[in-house]
This record gives sequence, C-alpha cells and structure tokens, in this order.
Amino acid sequence: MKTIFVLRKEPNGLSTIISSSDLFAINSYPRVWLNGVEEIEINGKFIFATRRISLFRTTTGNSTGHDSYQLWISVNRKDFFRAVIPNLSSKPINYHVADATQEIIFLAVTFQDGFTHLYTSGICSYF
Amino acid sequence: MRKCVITLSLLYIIDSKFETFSLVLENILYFNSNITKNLPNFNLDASEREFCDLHQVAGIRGTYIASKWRNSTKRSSISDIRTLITYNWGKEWHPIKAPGMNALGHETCNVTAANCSLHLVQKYVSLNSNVKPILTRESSVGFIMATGVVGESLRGPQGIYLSIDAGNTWRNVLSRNFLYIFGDATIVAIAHFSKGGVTNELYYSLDDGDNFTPLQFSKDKIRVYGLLTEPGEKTTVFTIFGSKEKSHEWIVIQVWAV
Repeated sequence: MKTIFVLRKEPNGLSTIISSSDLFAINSYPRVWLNGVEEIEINGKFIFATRRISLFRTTTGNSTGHDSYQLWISVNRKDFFRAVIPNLSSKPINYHVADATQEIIFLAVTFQDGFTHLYTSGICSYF
Repeated sequence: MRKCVITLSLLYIIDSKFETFSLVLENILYFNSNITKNLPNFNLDASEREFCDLHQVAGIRGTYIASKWRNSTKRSSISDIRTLITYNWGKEWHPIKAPGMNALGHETCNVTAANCSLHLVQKYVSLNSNVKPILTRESSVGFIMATGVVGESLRGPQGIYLSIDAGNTWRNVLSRNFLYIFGDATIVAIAHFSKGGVTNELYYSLDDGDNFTPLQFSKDKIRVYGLLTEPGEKTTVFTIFGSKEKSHEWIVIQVWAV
C-alpha cells in the first residue's frame, strides 16, 4: 500500500503532517501525525520534523521568545517521538541531519550562541 | 573518562534507540546560508544551501571524517580548521596520522608531534576553490583518496593523499591539486590546476597508488571540469569532460584503461 505524506499549511503559519493511503479519497479522513511543524525531511526509514512550540504568547499573538524548537523523529513510519538532545548552555536554533544512512543518526545541532555540535543517537555518559 | 553505550543491533532495531542523542564532537564546521553568515570567504553562490563537513567512509561501518574548528573563539580562516576521524560511530575522534614523507621523499613534519597531522578537504574548501573533496566508494572498500594538507590545520600546500586501510595509514601520492576517481582496480588522476588551468595529461595507477604513470589523453590541452566512471565502478572506462582552451566548447574524452 502506497502512502502519501503531505505537509498541510495551517493559519498560524506552521504546518501539520498528514498522510493518506487512498489518495485522499472524498469519504476518508487523512491520518494526522504531528502539528506545529516547520520543516520535514524524509530520509530512508526516518522522517525528521522540526517543531516550534510557543510556550507563551502576548495578547497580540506574537511570540515572547520563549519558543521551544524541537526535533521529532519517526522511524519506519511509526509514531513521531521527540528527540532528547542534552545541552546545558544554549538553545537549539537549527537541526541538520548530517548522516542517517547507517544504524546511527549523526545530527548537527546549531545553538543560539553560534556553535554547531555533532550528536549521535545513542546514550553516552561521563563519569 | 567517558563511557558510551551505543548498542548496535542489525536484527532488532528498536525505535527508542533513536530517542536520546549524545554529544560526540563540539564546534564542527557547519554552513547554513540563513544562519552561519560568519564563515570566512565563503562563496554564497554555491549551490549548497546547507551542509556539514562530515564524510561517511563508504563501505566501512562507523567510520567518519569530520572538520572542526580548532578553538571555540576563532572561526576566521582555514587555518582554524582541522580534521578528525572516528572508527566507532563518534565515540572517539583522532587526528589523522600524517605520512612521514611527502610525494617527493622529503620529510613532512615530526609525525609524533601533536601539531603534525593530516587535514582533508571536504565540502567547505571544495565549494570555495574547486578542489576535489574526499572520495570513498563502496566498490573500493578501505580506499580513501583526498586532497590534504600536513600540519596543524587545513592551511598549507595541498597534495593528494591515499589510504588503503580505511584511514589508518596514509601516503602522499601526488603533489599539488588533482581531480581523481576510482575504477575497477584503477585510479585515475588529472592535474587540473596546472599552468593556465589546461592540461592534456592524466596519471593512472594500477597498483593501489604505489606508482602513477603519465598518459597524454589528447593532442590539444583542454580545460578539464570533471572525471566520471559508470556507477558501481565495475569498469576501467573513464570519461573526462571539459572544454576547449580558448572558447567554450564541450569536449568529452573516453579513456579505456585495459
């Protein structure tokens, strides 16, 4: 069964990832995967989506700068989960998938302080 | 001391494995036309809008080559960039061992010193100067050919370096700048930054880069733009494309290394 993924633009400027396996036939509803999405990238078995979540808004609807910029990942077209990227010093402003051709994802994360650091999927600990 | 638990399992891949990320290398070379406006001397006309200088060595699992800024305060020139290699998915990064001798048999630098390692051209320098970046192919497992500089950074005289053991040891096989490509047990290299940017000579090697033999591929010199083989490289037919020296007119030349 072929599935079409569509990024549906919403009135708030962000998008929603929806999909349909029957070419959006009139009597069926598309599946809604994730809202608040800025960009998506389909890369092999992965779908990467960046999401901007406004924690607070002013009365005029403008962002207060307390946005949370998140990376969400779907593996093998299953439900999206939020990637946990440990960082103590600065806020992430960009995610770039540097390599996802093998079993581990290499992710370049750019932070507000201008630095770009390289992360891999998997758990590391310092002791 | 740092401990990483990166479980690799080819048979059972669990989604949660991708949920948590770990920092493996700080301050890497990343370009994005909207964000990183501070990259020195970068030609914004380049077709790439976003890239990161990270090369996955084809055919060798877990082996990657990365460019990083040498220190956290200075990102102003190529002398601030160095190259590191990992063989275990980023758990440990090492400088690349410089060969003790250059292609002409002269000593390069004290290879045991911390400031003497091999630095390899990736996208950033390549897009800026038309120098060929790192070449690896699934069809030539363990072979890495690259334009490199021996010293403490990417600044210095460039040469062509070859590793046939996935990046562990290196040889400086040619001096100066070349375009290069792998075929079936054959390496072909063309000096395309020779006088006036034109040439009619290529160098080929049939012995894993130990010896390169010059060959004149056309009567007149041409401006060489690139080198091609068939995808999969199961061939010894190479295609050189370029243009006439004086005015632009496409020229395609096939070389059969049989």
